[in-house]
Amino acid sequence: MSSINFEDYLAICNTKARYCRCLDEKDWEGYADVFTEDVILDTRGSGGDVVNGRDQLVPWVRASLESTATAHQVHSPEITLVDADTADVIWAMQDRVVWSEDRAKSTGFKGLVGYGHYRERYVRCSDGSWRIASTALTRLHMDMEPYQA
Amino acid sequence: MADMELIDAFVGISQVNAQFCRTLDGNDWAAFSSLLTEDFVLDVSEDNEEIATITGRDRAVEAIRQELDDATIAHHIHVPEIDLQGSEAYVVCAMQDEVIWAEPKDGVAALNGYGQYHQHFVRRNGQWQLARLRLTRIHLDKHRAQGGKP
Repeated sequence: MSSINFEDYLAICNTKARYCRCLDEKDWEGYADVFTEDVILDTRGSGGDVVNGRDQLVPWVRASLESTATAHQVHSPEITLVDADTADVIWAMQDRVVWSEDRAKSTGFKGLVGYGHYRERYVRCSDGSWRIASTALTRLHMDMEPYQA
Repeated sequence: MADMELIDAFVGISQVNAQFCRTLDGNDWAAFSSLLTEDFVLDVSEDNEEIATITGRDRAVEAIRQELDDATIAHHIHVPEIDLQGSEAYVVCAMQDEVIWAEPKDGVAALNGYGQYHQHFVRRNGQWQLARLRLTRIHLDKHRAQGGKP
């Protein structure tokens, strides 16, 4: 497959930027819209699980992060076009996570600064938008911040 | 052709944001000013309620200079969402900043902040310039001064 054209490159970047912003601002409607209906989320590489389908994914992430302050950042992507409407993308990522007082007390950790990669597949949907069809998060390092009462 | 316009906007805006961070962090106020339109509007009221929206490049730069000239600062701007509308663009970017105050402020020695820059860019005479900047915060880590002064 030839290299990606710029319009598609930018559209994929916009989708991921929106993913980060909606997640961090708890805009769950906006967050849901960046995924395909049959999306697969794999966070086993970050202490999580595999979740199938947007209708399962959004409530699962929401329950986990609703009372948590998060700031997600993604860096320069590596994009490989699979076919005209499919692209595989690897993003270096960093996140700052600060848990609620209750969760910090029960886990012994106040928060973290994490480093890792998102490995994702994007597809062009019938409305022309690029959405995330699968996403896997792996970690390089997590700086854990101990909780002190 | 649509592709070329997008490339021009993406590259132009990315360059302005890179220069924005570098000239701000390097306290190069003349170069920093050149990135802004004369009628530039700055809104950092979410960070500091005492600072109302500032209209005008010279007033905005002076306010930023007074606040940050003595501090050690590092700003990062991440992947933008760009809504291109001809010679204007509405952009939202994740940002992160580190600020180490020369003297602790209210017991705070340094800040690590996370948020979004909401930007309005305009292309004038072939140059992309920043016409409006609003900062919203997701999280602010405040590092307390150790010991502190009596």
